[in-house]
Amino acid sequence: MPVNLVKSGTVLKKPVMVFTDINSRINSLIDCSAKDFNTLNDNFQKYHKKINNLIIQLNSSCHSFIDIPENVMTDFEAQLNEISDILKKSYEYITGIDYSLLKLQKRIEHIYLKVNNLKQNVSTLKLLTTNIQFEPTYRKLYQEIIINLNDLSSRIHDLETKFQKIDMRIKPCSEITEQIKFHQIPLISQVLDRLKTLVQGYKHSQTEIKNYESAHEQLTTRHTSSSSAIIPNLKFQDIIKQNIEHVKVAHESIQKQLSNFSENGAIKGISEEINVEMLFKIRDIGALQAIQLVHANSEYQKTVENITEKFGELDDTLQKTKNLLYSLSPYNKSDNKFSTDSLNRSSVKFNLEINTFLDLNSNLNLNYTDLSRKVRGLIYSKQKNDHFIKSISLLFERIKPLINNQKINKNSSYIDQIIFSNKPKLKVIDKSDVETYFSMHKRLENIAGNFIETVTQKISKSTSEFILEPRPWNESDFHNSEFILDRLKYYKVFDKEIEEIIENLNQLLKQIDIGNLESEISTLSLEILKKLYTMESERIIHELYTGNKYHNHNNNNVVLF
Amino acid sequence: MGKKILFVDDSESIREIVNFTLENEGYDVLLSNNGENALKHLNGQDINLIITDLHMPEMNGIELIIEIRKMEDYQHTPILFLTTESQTEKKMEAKNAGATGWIVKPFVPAKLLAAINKVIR
Repeated sequence: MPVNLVKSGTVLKKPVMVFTDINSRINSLIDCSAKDFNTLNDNFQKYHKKINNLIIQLNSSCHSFIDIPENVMTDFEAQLNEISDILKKSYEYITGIDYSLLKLQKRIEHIYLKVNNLKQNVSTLKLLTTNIQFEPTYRKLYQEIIINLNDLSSRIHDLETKFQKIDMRIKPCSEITEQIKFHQIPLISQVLDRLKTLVQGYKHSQTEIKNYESAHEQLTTRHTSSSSAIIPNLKFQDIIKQNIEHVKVAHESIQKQLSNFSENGAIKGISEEINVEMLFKIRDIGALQAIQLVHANSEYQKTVENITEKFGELDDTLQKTKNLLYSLSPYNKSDNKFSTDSLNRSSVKFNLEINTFLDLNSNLNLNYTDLSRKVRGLIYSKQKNDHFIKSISLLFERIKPLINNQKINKNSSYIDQIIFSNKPKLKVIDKSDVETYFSMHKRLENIAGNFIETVTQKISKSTSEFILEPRPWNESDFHNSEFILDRLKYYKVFDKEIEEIIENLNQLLKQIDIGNLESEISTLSLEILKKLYTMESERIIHELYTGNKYHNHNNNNVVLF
Repeated sequence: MGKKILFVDDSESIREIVNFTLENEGYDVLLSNNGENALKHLNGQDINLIITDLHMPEMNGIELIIEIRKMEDYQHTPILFLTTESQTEKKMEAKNAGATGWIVKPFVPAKLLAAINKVIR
């Protein structure tokens, strides 16, 4: 009979014991969620810091290379092509000089023979003139002829010496042009070809780095997304704590009322109606709280699952970032196509080749300077000879009327030939041309110097930083997500405890045998709980249990007044 | 030096998470576990924003705002509630006390930061 059960003091003592037990268990639940929070929060922050550092390092490693703008390489390549063109023109120019020098030399050899003939002819003429028996009236003329012939002979001798000197000047010029043409220009061309290959390789590396950059962006996005998803979940501890504490406060309140009943000799002086009402109150509160705890448990479980999943993502992001950094690392000796080591080697080669280029170019410039000086000397000598030859020609003109001799006339035309045939040949070697080419090669030095400053130094700096930096991807003291999951207390403590609490509440509800006394849920008896709620989820459960219509207030999470 | 935010919440875990979220964004965060301690932080120092929980022992969030608004230096400092509470009556009470906005826990970091960006001075 229900009334007998109500009258029994033991019936009301049982809920007191159950609620006391539940309250002590609730403390351990709060402790469990706090410990889990600390485990998850500590590891989340470690993950966050670790991944952030690795991503920053990856970013800085990529950017140290990417920061060399693409157009620097394209510009450098264009400059190398320009240098090749200059060298080609330089080669053609030197070939032209060489040809002119050769022609000049042959012409001088030719003229030299003519001068020798002329010398011989003048000697013959002198001999003839000496042997001619002049009338005393022509003695003066004779003396004049002899003087002029002696003068001519002396000038021809000088001319011969001057031609020898020009010939001697041509030889060193030819030696220089030969060195430029057959030694220096081919060597520089080879260096240029190697530099062009290196530029191509570097441009390829830049494309590779762009892949790294894109991977880096994806990792950053993923890391931000996983972290952002973890943060709201980490608030579970506070929410569960509030939820459970509200259950605890309600229990304490009802416990107090029940204890008063027992201590006052309980049931005796109390009306049956009040006792029955108390049983309904225990039933309703117990049932509602069982639902609230089931909800809290399910929230906790869902949170742990969410965080675990996101930790798995963080694990994966961490691993991928480490792998990327490792593949960029100079320590990586695998045969991957791209690494900072290969870039470093390229950088060393760049430096080496550019220095070789600078040395060769500097020597070439020295030779150009030397050639320019020697050619200037040659032009000057030739001009002087032209004047000298002209004076010889004039002397012949003076002798010609004195002796109407065919030989003299013939030699006079030789002189003209000497002067006019020679003159245009050296015109091709122009001082200003030499200086133009000299300045071109001087400009090459600047181009190469700038390239060293903007590219190769930057590459070697970033690779040396890589070598000096510790190797973060080798850290072994980092826990993975599985290890963290093992340390969580939820599955070992919370889940079990809450199941036992719910079981106790169910047992209690079974023991409160109200027999045929059917009752509606008393919303009035549950008012004490309603006042405790601070969360929308608690109110929803409450209203669902009491069968009231629920008005959702939580339609906007952020409101600015 | 980032902008300074005072965050008041009795829950240690919430303090940890909010601190982490805000510091990562470059804010300088002052933490307080209750209203009384929060008022001690407000001794004339330059605070750009105050974020507080509603339900706290001894002095709740509404009471805290009323006290803050009495202080001359902080009459115009923006104050946001960050709470599990979502009742309209409570929101109105907070607005009347001088709150600038209301954010319901659990919050998404991006939404919290967006709200902060809108109100911070």
